[in-house]
Amino acid sequence: MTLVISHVTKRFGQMVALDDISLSIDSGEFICFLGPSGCGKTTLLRVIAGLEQVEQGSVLFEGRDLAEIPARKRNFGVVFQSYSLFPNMSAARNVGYGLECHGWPRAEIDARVQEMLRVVALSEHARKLPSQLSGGQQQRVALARALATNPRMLLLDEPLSALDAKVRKNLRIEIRELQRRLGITTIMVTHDQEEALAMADRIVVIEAGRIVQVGNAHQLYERPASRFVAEFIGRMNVLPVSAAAGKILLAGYPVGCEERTAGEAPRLIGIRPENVCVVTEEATDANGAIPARIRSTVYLGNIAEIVLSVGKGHEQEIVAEVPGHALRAISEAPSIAVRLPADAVKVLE
Amino acid sequence: MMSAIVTTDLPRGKVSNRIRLGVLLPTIIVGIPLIVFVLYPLVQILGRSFSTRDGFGFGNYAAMLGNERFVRITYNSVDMTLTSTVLAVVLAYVFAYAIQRSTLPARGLFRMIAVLPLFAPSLVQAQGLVLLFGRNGIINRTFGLGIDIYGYWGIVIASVLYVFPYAFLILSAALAVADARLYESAQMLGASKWRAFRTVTLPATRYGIAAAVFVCFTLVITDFGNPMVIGGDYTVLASEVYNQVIGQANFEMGSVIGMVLLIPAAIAAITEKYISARQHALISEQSKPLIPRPDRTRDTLLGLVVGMISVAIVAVMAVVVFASFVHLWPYRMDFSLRHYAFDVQNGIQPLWNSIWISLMAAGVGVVVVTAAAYVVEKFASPATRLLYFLAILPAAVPGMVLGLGYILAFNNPSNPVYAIYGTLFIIAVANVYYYHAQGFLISSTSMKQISNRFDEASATLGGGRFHTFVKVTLPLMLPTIVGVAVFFFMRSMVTLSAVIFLVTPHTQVAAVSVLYLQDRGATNQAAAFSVCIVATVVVALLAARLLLNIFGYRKMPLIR
Repeated sequence: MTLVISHVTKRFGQMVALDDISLSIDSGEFICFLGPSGCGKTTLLRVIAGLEQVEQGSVLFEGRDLAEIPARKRNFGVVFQSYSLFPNMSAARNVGYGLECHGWPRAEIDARVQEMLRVVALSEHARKLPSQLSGGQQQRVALARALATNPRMLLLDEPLSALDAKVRKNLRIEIRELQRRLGITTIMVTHDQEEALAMADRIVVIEAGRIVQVGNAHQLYERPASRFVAEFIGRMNVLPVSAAAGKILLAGYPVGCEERTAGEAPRLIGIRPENVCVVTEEATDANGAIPARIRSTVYLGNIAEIVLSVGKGHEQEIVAEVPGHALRAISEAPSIAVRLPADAVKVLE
Repeated sequence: MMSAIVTTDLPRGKVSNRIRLGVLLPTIIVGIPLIVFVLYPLVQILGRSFSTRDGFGFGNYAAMLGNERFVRITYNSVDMTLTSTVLAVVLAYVFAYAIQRSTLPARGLFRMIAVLPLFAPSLVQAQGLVLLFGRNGIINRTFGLGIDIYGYWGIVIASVLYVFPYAFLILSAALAVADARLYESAQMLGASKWRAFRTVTLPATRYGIAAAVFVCFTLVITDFGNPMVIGGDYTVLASEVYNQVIGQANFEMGSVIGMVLLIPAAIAAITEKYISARQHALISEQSKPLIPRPDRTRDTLLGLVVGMISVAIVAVMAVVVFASFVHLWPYRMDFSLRHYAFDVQNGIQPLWNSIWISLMAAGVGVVVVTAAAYVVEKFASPATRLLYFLAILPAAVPGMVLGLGYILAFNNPSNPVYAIYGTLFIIAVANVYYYHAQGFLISSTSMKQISNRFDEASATLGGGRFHTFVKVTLPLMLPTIVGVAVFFFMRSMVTLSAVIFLVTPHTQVAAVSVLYLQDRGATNQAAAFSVCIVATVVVALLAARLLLNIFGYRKMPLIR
């Protein structure tokens, strides 16, 4: 374990920003802190960077307590959300700044700066000021600056949020490849679940100052630990159910659930739209389907989204995702029903 | 010790209640000079105003209130100040409106004219008016008139011209920002132009107007140069302080009047700070800038007013320049350079003294206000509010009161500051602290715009606080530093009130020479000194402008 965070709590006045956070990170891992804005993910990153002090708990890096090491002596590379490039310095001087601080000899600084600018493909922009560079270029300078001193860890605070969609996707791949090549332990803060799923080895989902789930993309998507995770990562139909005679009932119809442990009486189940099966036949006890009516449809080309309602009296809304070409047959069918595959139904509460 | 200072737990939410020495120490270092050079002299004045022959008490105040002459002088001061303030603000509003909201030609030139009085010693207006309308004034002699400029109206006109640029700068800034959408809606709703002005423009600039009123009020009631020269028998509080202290060496009475002057000045300064803090919130980000459209009637009317004010400002200063180049005003009006030989008591030395003092004030001022702004911004502690208060306190202190405080506090061999008492340096120090509030606010505004993120970025890259300050903060502040230096230089060259009690025959400054020479009737030499002061200020401004332009800071304003 490279970084061990144990029982860290941080308050800003009355507000609890971090609530008893514990987490271990392996050497060379790419970790994402994922959560909505204000959940504490940036604060946790700043604690690791040494930009915030904590009231309780400890952060150990390679066995040493970081509390006694100020930010400037930690040698962690940090890329800030707004990059924080020094506006009075050229790209090259920005990249060389950390090396100056660490007292490298001039010649070595120059060589290292050139090397780093080559790595981020900005050699020809070395003498430009940050204001003369595009957003993506500024981002790459910030990355080169953070990596120039051979930091022991790389911390990225929403590094891509200020960029437009296309640049963002390219940089995602670039950052990930660079990280793999250097083998540097990296923590990235993001509120963009797609970004987290695409880049991270492991994702730490944070809600209201607490870690709610840690896992890789598959685990989080397939086995969300809570309703929050289920809804935050991907889309999820969240359905209130009742339990009677050992069965789960959705709007009065029994629903199978493999995940359910014996004796558990769930109150909320979830199913992802792409797992909902829409069938163009009458629901019967034999086929185990639930009768449904179409409320609205959206055709998106390769797929179509159908909003359905099931049950009588207090109706439940279910969103289903079907192949685009199947939409016509479904909308024209005299009666339709939905089937919720038992292996796709999650217990949320 | 060092490590305590360099940890970068900059407060993002609430300040931690653990106060560490590393945070408090810079506050103390920056705060001590403010206590010594601002608070302590004020306390001395306060103390002296209560000291009577029978010990401590209200005796001096009682004597003053019971004195019919003093009551009249106070009334004079308030009367003259109110008239001058109203006139100055109204005229400056029209002028600023013409510059910002009309299509009048040569607006850049008129703008320059409006701020012209800032380049000259504060009594140049009275000097010029005397040359124009005095007993030997060019107008009276040419047209055989008997206009008597000395007295109430003389002071009022001189004061209006003196404070005009200050009011103009404030109102011009207030009128510069306007939301075109409001005017468009007013127009769509069928409002007449006058109605739109009353319902949109006036309310939007009300804080600017109030700020201008308070600034002008403070400047006029505490100004003594103009009343000295043109007041005649009309005595005001500011000139009375001078009479009491210099004329009768009555420090107790001088202190009492100083305290009386301090009260309205302090109220006005505090109100102004409170008001200008609200000015900014009026314009939202979606605002659309207003582009004035041509309007012949409006522009003609505004042109007339702007033209008349400009003629007045220029005439008063031009006649001073003219007088400095004639053989003997008003008897021999042929060209002569003899007044620039400065064959008066100290020769040209006072001008050099002024330049040295202004350079020192610029240097010391930049360091002092930058340090104060830096500490207030970066070392938040419970003492920060106190430091901020001390830093802007001088805005409420009339120059003469501060100068008198310096005599009482430092003209005393047992005080360590006595070592520099009677030198040019103490005068520079007085100027630094007299103008501290404005310099500090310029500096701290600029520092606020430099994000804390740069400090954090630097820290994560291994940079200590000092390294960050030298390599990042200071270079980013450079244009502001030049601006602050120019500000201190300019004001130190022209000020009279803060230095009048501190000059000695050896450390006399040019602005004081103008007063003495004028007082003695050496009109031509006084004029020559004024011209030299203006020339020095203009040269310094041009040099600073050039420097900033070379480094690419064309937008940095230098005249404030």
